[in-house]
Amino acid sequence: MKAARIEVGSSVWFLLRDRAAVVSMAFLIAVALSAVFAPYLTPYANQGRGEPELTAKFKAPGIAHPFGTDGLGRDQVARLMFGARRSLSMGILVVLAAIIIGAPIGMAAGYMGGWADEAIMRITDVFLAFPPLLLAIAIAAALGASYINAVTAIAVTWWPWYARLARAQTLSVRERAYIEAARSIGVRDRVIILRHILPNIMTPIIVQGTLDVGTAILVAAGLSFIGLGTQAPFADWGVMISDGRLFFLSGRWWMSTFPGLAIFLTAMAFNFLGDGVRVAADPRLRRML
Amino acid sequence: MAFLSFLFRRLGLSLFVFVGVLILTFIVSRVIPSNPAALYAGARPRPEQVQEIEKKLGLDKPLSEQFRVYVGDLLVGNLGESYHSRRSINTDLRLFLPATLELVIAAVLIALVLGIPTGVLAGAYPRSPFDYATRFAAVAGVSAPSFWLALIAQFIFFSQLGWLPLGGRVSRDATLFYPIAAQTGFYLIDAAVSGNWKAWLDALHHLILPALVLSAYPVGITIRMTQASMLEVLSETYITAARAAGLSRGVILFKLALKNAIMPALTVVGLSFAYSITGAFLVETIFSWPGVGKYVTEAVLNVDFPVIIAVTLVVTLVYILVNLLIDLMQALLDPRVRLV
Amino acid sequence: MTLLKVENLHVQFTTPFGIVRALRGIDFELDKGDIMGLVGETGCGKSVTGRSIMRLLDENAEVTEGRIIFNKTDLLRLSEREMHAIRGDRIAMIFQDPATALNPLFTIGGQINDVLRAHSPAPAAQRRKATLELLASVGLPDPAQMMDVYPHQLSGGQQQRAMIALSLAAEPEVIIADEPTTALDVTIQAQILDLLRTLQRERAISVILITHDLGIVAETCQKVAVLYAGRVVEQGAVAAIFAGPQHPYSRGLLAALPRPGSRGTDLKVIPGNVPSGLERIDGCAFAPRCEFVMERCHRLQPPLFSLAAEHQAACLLHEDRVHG
Repeated sequence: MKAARIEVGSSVWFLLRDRAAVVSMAFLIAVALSAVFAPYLTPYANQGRGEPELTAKFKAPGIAHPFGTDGLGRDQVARLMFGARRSLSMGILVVLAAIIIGAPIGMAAGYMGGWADEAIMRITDVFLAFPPLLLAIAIAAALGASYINAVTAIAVTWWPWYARLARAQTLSVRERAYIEAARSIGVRDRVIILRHILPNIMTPIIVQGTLDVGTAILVAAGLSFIGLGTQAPFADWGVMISDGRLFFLSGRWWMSTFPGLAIFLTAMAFNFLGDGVRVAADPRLRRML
Repeated sequence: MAFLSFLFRRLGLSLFVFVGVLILTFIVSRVIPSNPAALYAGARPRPEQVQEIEKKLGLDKPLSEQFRVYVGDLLVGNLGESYHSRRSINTDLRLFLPATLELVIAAVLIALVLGIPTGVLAGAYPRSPFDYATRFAAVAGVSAPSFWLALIAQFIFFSQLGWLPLGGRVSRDATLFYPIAAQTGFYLIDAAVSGNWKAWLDALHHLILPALVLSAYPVGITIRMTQASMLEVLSETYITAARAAGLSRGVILFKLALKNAIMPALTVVGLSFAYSITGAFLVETIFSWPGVGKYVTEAVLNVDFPVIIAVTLVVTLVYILVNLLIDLMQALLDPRVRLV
Repeated sequence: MTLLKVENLHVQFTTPFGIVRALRGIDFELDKGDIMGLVGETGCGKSVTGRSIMRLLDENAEVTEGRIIFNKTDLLRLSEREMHAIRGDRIAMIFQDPATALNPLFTIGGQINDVLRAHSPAPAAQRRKATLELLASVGLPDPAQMMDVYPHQLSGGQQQRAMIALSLAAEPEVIIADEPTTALDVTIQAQILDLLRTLQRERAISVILITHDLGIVAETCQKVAVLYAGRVVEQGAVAAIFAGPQHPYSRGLLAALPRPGSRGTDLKVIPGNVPSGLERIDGCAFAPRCEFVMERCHRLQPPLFSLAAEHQAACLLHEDRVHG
């Protein structure tokens, strides 16, 4: 137990020494706060929710509107803040849902072994045989275009990654002496899985999850960009890029630029943070890097 | 012998996966939608259209029977027709698939040529300024939304610098005055075969920008994976042994370690391919590139479901074949698999 | 004649948990033509000593003190380029697990050829001939066929023979063998040790044999240094030390060695654990586990006391027996 505490303490210390990870964390907290408190931070909250302001169409960035306005006169800062609510939540929900579906399946496969393991692994093979996004497009199209259907579609194509990760971790934990001991004295499987295996496999899954949120945001933005995600009058960052696309080369560059930057920086921040957490959680990597 | 048994196992697995893909796409197209016929009929269908399609797809029959018809059609190579344009999807794909593959292959090549040497050097000199710069670039590459990058690239290289065309596969001049005789559908190949070098240059000119944009993500993962695999290999005992035997750094890095590091790095070819396809689906519209990506995005707008399912199936089949090829190549390169 | 002399060698590692002092003043001498055993438990610093001599320590390691004198030059003062000229050419190394020490993607012949090419300008045909001779000299059957074989096609013993051939390629004066038989079956172990002895006799090569197995030392070595927690606690002629170990730790190790006729219950295990290297040690590192411990042992770090011409021990019990 004592060793475990030293381990966690030194991991946190190590993470805080990683400048890129700390800056990323600060950036993500700022983005998250501006999303949560968007209604109180902007005077244009109603425009953020989609209400047009036809007297202020296509205003270039200036003092009143730092990021300009769109074709319906909506303040792009407000749009971006309200868009963050959807883009961030899509990324996080996709990863959470994928973990909730994938981790138990992977644990079951690793714990039971035998034909069940084989069957589950072959099923994940089938899901991973699709190029990313492709299956999600098909499922989202089948379900109908909407925010929640986009999340569902991506999560359904993403869970196999977590199933495989959970399985590999379960396999390595299962062989440990205390699990063998617990089984030999007749502790029920359910108890072993919940008490002993689950806590031990969570760390790598959380690390992977952090890394994946950035990618999930990108994929979700992609679905929104082609029209299968968030629907008007609401917008996420993908939709905003799509809305500004046709005006981009004709001088109204701001509409697509800022939401693109938002996705870019957020995805980068999740990557740096995830890398930092991964290295901090793995002593072997710390030595190598 | 070991290789043959590997070959058969691997072929078996691919076949199995393909059957799984058939089942999964069947589920997506017939089980998930609440009313498949309405979905197939497109946006705002008339009731009699829906009924017609219901009969055509056999939706009144049990699922097992439907599946038999579905697979039967696919086995004879019939992908159905678009209810939006009323065109055969086979014909459309024959036109669009080569365009996308040409773009994707170009992006994969860029990713390998740029990514592997960079990753090797970054892995060989850990904690050097080059390593840090490379890692930053790699993260940037995997974080930029491709459809946004496409717009920025057009702004810089078309609007500002005027170096590269805005979009399309060839310019209007080329189509009018020196048209490419389509054989394979890969313009660079077709133009080269017929000695139409003007058109070849023109096609290359059009290919550069979209291929570069698509390669951003693959370059990022190629760098990351090569660098990680290089780091891993350099910590192996056989590298210490090579140093202890007095081999020079150059030989160790570029002869010994590179060969070991390139094996796992070959998997990035598959990944690069997959991500380039994903990218193609998002940016082809922006570049007016007449490929399957543009085809699908238009199908999404027109609620043209049969097209979406058919493209999903065909592109996935291509991806399965690519992965099969890569695995076989890896096995051939590895004496531990090749020989016993 | 002393060929290699390690003096007061200190090495430390920077880890997330703090500084680990792996070597805390190692002293020993290797005479020309000898096989010298470095023996001790896991973590005592014997492998680190070997790597230090080759200057192949990991990046987080640092030599803080000491000298390694080889042919009158201090290896620790050489530039990387000068050291590069010594590696393989004058001092070579054999590793514990030949399966990981040979590159899996290159043939045996190719790997030996690389070493030959690094050390001499001989033409390819001549290198091929030299490779064949090397493979024959380490007792590998059918050298011509061995040239084109990959490591995974050989047995463990054959792999280690190939590794030895590779280390011999540039005709070094010293071979550092780091647990060369630990990964092998018992019967193969004897053959490999036999080979090392033969090479030492026939080629006048000096060997530092790193091992945790006192039995191997007794069979193979002329001299031995017993390491504990990064220091030499006893060293000298094998015959003298095995006949009468003078340090309580060596005594304990020898008592734990199974002998013909001994029953399981006779084996004694030394109670307690080896220090991790993280904590500061003022006195004798073995004091907490020693049955003869005195109050002074916790304060004074004992130097090596000479007990006989070829026998030294670092224990305060022998302080008064030292002359002068």
